[in-house]
Amino acid sequence: MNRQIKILCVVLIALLLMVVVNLSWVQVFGAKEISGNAFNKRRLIEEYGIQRGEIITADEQVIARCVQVGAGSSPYRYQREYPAGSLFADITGYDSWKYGRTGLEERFNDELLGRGSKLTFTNLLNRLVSASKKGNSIVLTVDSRLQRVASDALEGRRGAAVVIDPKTGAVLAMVTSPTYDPNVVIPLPGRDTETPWGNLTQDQTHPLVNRATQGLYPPGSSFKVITAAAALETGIARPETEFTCNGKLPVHGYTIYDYGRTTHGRLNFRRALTVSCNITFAQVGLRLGGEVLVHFAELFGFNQKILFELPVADSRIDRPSDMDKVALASSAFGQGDDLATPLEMALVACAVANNGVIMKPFLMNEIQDYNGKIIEQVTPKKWLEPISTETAETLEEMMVDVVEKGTGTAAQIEGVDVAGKTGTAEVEGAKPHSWFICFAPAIEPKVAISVVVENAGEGGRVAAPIARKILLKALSL
Amino acid sequence: MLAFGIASVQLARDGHISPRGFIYPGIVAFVFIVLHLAVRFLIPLADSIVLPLSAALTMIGVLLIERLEPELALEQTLWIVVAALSFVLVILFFKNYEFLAQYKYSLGLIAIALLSSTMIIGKEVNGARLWLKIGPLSFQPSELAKVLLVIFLAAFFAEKRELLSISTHRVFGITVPEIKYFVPLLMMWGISVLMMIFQKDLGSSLLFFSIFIAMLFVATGRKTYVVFGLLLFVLGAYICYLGFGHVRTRVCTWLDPFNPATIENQSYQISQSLFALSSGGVSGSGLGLGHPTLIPSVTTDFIFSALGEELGLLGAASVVILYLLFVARGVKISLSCPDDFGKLLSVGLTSIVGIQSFLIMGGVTRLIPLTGITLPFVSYGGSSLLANFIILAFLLVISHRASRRSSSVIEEARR
Repeated sequence: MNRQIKILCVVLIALLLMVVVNLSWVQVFGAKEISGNAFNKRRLIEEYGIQRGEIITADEQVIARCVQVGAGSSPYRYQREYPAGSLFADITGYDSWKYGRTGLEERFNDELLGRGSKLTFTNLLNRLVSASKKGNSIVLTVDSRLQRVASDALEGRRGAAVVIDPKTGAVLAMVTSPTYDPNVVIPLPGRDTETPWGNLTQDQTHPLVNRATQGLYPPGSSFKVITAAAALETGIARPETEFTCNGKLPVHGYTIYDYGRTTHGRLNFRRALTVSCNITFAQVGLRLGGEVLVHFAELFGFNQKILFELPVADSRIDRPSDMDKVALASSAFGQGDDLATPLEMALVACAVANNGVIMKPFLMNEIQDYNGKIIEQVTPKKWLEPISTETAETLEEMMVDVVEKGTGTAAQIEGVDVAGKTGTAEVEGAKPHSWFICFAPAIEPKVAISVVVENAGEGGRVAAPIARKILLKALSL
Repeated sequence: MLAFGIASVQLARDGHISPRGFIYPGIVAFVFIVLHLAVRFLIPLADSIVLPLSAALTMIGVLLIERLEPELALEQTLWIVVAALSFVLVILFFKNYEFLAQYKYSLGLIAIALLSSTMIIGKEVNGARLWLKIGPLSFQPSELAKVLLVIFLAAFFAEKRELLSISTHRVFGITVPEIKYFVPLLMMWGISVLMMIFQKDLGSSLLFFSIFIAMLFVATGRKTYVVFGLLLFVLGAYICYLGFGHVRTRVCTWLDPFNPATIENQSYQISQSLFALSSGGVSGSGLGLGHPTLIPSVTTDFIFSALGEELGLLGAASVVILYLLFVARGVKISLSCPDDFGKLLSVGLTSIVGIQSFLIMGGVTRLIPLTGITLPFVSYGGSSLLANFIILAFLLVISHRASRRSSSVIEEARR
């Protein structure tokens, strides 16, 4: 019988050793895969046990902060609160254990949770005494006063506005409409988030989409700034170069009409931009050719990934090989298949404002630890240099004319030279999108702005006055 | 060790150490000191390793229960005292355990009665009818039944093992015992399947059947029984898989615990257990610093997962090693025992601890399908503690008798 007992013993020991082997897989070698499962609450409990850093505007307004939740009511100890409601929703996004993270909350998650920071002595000490962990705060370039004015100026109409300091690329304001209140998706104990979440995701106006970075609109005549830059840079046209506008232009058996079927007669290039003559720009486009036009659009940021803290849709222009003459002529005045985001068009204005250089746009200016000590400071970086300083200066003068005596008079400000360009982007079966891009003062500009309002009519009538309100505030700060 | 553990739990939970927390572990330590003295005094030649092993496991249990659900620690401590009393009673009255063999059929009948009692007057908890309610106390009769059953089987096999091992038939060139000797095997299989169906208790059913096969094999040395038994097991498992939803669920959640369709309900327990273990890593989160309370029934069936989360692979593997040592010592006792009944009894009792710990540790780590059963000595639960302490007492008694007899043999030889 002893032989059998020994065999049984070996079997039992083998079984127990199998448990150890399997354990080392579950706990060590395969642990990452298992613990990374979305249904594992441990990661969330850990993350929401950290006192996440604040998000602060350039004028020191706290726009995202933590509230401590009573220990008995929820396993998630610290949850988010957005004191300004919907005003910064599209910048901060939300941080909800139930619905995830978006916006800067997602982009700077590691920093806000204090993970990105180096292991300092204080950090280590805190960790050793297992004091509640605190994250770092991020300070934005956005100014809450300007943000509020921009948001008010849109008056709830569907559209977006982007305000950038052209010298640094710092985004001073970025609004989109309609938007949402990020507080409603934070599931504090006793708060119903299901209903508002359902409403938000099913809303046909897409309030969760940041139109400033994700909205792709035909740029309309605001694109003429790029065509003009290409023409000036390549020498195809000078401001004095004469053109003729008969109100229509036959291209390959197809006729291009000017907006509103107006006829401008004989006019120079400078004047053509001022009155936004499509026929002139169609001719310029045809002379430039697809290769050069697309090349310049790409120099300005089209067909390129904009490196930004929020996800940005790529602004598009067709490849030259895909363009026939009609498409090329339409592309030259921003119709056809051109599509641009409000952020991209603000950067176009920046290029002209900043002597031909586009700075890399950014929202986050510095990271502070919980004592307010600056850990990291962002230095402005050059992104693109599409045109020379001379071309930029010439264009700036031409754009000042647009506001002084052209389509953009609604953006005039007394005592300040404003350089701008309107856009009226025609869409099939609906009112055109209203665009305005501008910068001011013309010499040593402080801000560059782009405004788009969906299906609102002419750029000079709708978008330009909005831009003016924002400009007034920006120049007063 | 336990005092350190309690201190660390308190630090992590409340941020300070309070003397109150040391009361229960103090009592448990005291109980084991008394037990040790009782063993030294009453059965001085008993094995000196199994008691400390059980003490270590029991204390780990109390520590974990104190950390997971402090309100249960008092109850567990009281049960340990009760279990220790029955331990002393066993070594007092069953010192000559051989006489038990005479009552094997009565004991067997009591075991069956205990098992079937829950079907008639039982209370359903977590979808399984395992509990008898007497006044304020819940009692799980299958825990005691397994000890009685092992005593019965040991006596039965000791008597009939010659008979059962005779092979007279040849089938396909293999010598097999006569058909009628398969009857006990079939009966046991029938009982296990009935348990699976009526009590929905997969764990005990599997445990009973494996112990039976193990003891049958030890008694007869016939592999035919083992093979036939395994075939029967597969057949039974397959029938239950087809016929019963709760068995199917267990298998499905074993194969695919992270299926999003079941992860919030049927496979919630097992997936939570795996999350806990995986977050533990090599050294664990530290006692009191993990989140094992997210696992349902963490103080009973899933206590091993809590251990894995907070003490890591090192802690969990240490516990497995404690069981391994327990099994090794139990087998050593069995080997040294001169009579068949004692041999079979000790190997059967050792198998209970070995197989039961394997079933639940393998279950919560997804090595095998999950069956709800307690982790011997560690899990919260009075009936389980009681049964395990009785097993421990019998093992010690057998080892005492064995070494006394061998020493008297040596003395006789000297003369």
